Amino acid sequence: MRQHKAVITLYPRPPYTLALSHPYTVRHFFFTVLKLGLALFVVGALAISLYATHLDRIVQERFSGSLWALPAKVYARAMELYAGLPLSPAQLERELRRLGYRSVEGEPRAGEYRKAGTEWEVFARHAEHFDGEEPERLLRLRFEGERLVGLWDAARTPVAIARLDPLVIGSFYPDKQEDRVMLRLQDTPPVLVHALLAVEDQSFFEHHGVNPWAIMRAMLVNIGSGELTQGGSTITQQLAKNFFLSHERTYVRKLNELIMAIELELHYSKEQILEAYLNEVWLGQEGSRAIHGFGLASEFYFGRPIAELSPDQVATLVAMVKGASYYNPRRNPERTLERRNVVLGVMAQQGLLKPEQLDLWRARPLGVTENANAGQGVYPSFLQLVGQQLRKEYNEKALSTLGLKIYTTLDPEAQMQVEKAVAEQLPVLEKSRKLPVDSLQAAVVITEPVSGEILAMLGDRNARFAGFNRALDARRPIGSLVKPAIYLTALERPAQFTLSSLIADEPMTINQAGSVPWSPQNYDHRFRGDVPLYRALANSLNLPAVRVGLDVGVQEVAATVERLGGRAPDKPTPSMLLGALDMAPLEVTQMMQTLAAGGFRTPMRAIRAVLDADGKPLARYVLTVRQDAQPQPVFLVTYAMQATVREGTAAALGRALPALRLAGKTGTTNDMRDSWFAGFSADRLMVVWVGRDDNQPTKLTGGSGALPIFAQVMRALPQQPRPAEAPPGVEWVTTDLSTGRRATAACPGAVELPYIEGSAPVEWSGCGESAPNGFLDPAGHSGARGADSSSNEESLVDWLNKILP
Amino acid sequence: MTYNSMKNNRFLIILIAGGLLSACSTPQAPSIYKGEPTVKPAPKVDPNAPVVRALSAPGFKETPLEAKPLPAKPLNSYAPSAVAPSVPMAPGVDYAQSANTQVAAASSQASMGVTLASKQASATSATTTAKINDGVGQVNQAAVATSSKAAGAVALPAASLSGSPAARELASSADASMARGDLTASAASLERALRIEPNNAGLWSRLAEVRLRQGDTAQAEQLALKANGLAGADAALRARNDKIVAQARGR
Repeated sequence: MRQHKAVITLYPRPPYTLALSHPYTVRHFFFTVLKLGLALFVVGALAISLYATHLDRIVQERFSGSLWALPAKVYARAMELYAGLPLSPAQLERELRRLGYRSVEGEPRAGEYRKAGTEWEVFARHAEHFDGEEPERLLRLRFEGERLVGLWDAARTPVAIARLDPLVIGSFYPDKQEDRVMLRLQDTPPVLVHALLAVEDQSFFEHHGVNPWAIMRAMLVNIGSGELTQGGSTITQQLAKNFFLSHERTYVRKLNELIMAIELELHYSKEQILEAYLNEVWLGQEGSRAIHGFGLASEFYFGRPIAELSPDQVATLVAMVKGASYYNPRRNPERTLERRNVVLGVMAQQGLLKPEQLDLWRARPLGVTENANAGQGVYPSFLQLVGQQLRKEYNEKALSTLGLKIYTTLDPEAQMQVEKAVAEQLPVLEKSRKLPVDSLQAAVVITEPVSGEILAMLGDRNARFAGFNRALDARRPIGSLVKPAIYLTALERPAQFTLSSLIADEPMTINQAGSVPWSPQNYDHRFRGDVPLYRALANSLNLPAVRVGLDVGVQEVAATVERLGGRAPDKPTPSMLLGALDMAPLEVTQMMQTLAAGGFRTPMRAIRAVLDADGKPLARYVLTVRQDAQPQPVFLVTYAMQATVREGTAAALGRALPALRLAGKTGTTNDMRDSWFAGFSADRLMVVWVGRDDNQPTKLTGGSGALPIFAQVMRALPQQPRPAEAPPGVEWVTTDLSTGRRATAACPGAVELPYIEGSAPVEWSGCGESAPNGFLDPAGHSGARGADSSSNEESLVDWLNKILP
Repeated sequence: MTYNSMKNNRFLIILIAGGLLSACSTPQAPSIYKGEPTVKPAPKVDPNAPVVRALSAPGFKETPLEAKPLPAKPLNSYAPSAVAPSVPMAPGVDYAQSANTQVAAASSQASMGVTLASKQASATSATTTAKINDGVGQVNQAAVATSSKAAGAVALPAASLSGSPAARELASSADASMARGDLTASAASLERALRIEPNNAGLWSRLAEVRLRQGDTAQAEQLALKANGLAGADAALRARNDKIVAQARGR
């Protein structure tokens, strides 16, 4: 253009050209104008076509490849259903509600269930798991008490095992926090598509991207109002606008939108455009998370997949297309209801509803769920652990864009029970110990000992707090939790130590080079003389533990701690024998895991598998075991830990939950700064820590602080008791505890104890002699009950009686 | 025509030609969603990243194995110091199928649009047995060829089928997968069953066999030992486990 101007200025009209009648001049002028006009036209057309080509490239680049960055979705473990499963109806109902199933009176359809006393019908959804699919089907269930005793399909054929769909517990978002649940056109309910087109773009299948009549109509309205308000946009134009353009209203943007809409229609089919629209349309906002597409909106507002929406709910979503914040059903329900009813009217006109039912549909409430963030940000502690692992293997971009599916081990029920127990117990403890409100903190880990799967994790008393995760990162002295490692080291020498070996509970002083002599004390500052080894552990006596630990060697005990999966100092000192070693709750869990699994160590896992967007496996995290301790000595230590629960420092727990045959250990540190409890049944292992961030005394022992939380959670979780059978190589011998010798069952002070074959006492005691002191007499042991629990056991019993029926 | 207007036209001609060329060069629209599978986004996994690692919390320490079980049990053998240290624990291992996926993904990503090269790359990666070792965890690349070879070497009696209907169903499904040669699916079914019945020795023994066929002798041995500890009076199962241990150690 500039060049043409230059031509004109370089050739100013000479004065004589004023004589227009001169034939040459006229002709010259005519050609000049013609040439200039032609050139301007060509350049203009070219400019537009170049510009259109430029836009075309943008359109095609955007549409090729993956249309959207899809955040990785994180799933909880799916609930398994089979006859014999310990599961109460209440637990099942909580799980179904988390998954958005609805209770109905009539025949259930997918995503619904019907209760009839102990007989339930659950119409399970189709579900994709990392190791297979689960069909959509009706399941008939029968309960007996707290157990599922029968499972059948619709035709009443027994079903051996079925799985519910896994709960979505989180996503990894990109910086631009768009979230969506991809929806394919063929999976979209036809009523939604028809209603959407009827309301937004009636001639969608006729026009070529732009509807001139609608634009003209809109322009008339705009001229009338003097503002650019009326759109007249087709679905294609709206898609072009959402995809490529800013949301400001200018004529240039409108022109871009028109060109791009036409180009979209040139390159892509109506179905492709419609599908893209269904997934792109913005339907809400939650903080920085943008809700895009009908798939996610359905879950966001109604807590269920789109296929299960009723017509009035479909109408609500269609109504929101006009303006998702103006017609926000949670914030502006009346306004939204009004527009939904308009949409319902259109649907009736279009034959999508029976006109006579229109009033019925209009009378229904909006029915949106109260909780907007279903599954989002609810399990920060656990997701921190998942994220920590994933970020080692995938970069941030892969996590936030590729639509990976991450199948984790979280058990939402266990997690819920943990959160509930901590929220209920800490204020009670603070009140009873006259501690400042909110001064106590807690960390909890629950795993499945056999698989090493982490079922629940809490890193802060506020379950929604996503900051410092004490379960992972708070290393605290573990106190008496080290004692199982001491006694395991000893019992691994069966020629030297058995459960009935008598250990001297007597004053002792340890002289260490370079430091003052150390005289450890029992919790109650009493001495009991000779004590059988298993009772020394069950009652958490300090002096015998130190004695045995020094006998086998501090270095050896440290090696056992590490062998079990714990963390020990490089240069252990005798004080380690009383728990002066720091571990995070997760590390303690690993150590206990190896004991709970009979000496076979399994690394703990939070993730089972990672799949790509198409369901192809990228990584599987499989079960591995390694025998780090022999099953026989581990069984003996576990027996002593069961004695802890039966008659020792956690006897209140044993009285509350006798059937589970729990094994456990209390842990208390100096001045009662840390309160620990670790324990396990056959299939649940739990570690609880209670303490203060400022490391001030809590006035809580392991038995009074951590134990009530442990007891409450364990009682609420379905699980199996620890099997009583010993591994091969263990024999049971009735033993007279006062002498550590063989006795008959008639002997009053005798107890049947497990021994590693060949290590049991051979000599017979002349039973009938009275025990040298009261502590050795099982009938009289109440006076010498566990140090950790003695001071506050009564309150714990009271409390347990309160919460237990 | 003046010289200047000629110059103008030449300029225009070049512009037009350029415009046409650029228009022609715009790529054909690929079909999305439907029809034949088109360019799917290659999983953008960092090719340098190790495929699998143990789940480790900070400070979660993997210590070398110090205890190794011995068949005979003299009284002094229960102490861990009595046994020689063994291999460090290979945690959370991932098997053939997923490793191939990753290798293929990485190579197709590297060849950025050069279709032929990418096809070749994924074709070769499917047959090569690459071993990815990051020092912490390792991918045991028991590809189809290896596992079928291993399967020939394994001659084990069938493990007993006991337990609840759910566990038996999953065990049967695992057996069927193993017969098909789908060892990954077989292992997944067995893990699922073990969560239901953690003390079912037959399940542990089956899992040991799967790992043996996959060439993971270390895990095969450990799992067979675990099965033996739970086998109780089932002499046939104990014999089977001992066989697995022997084969695992013999390799």
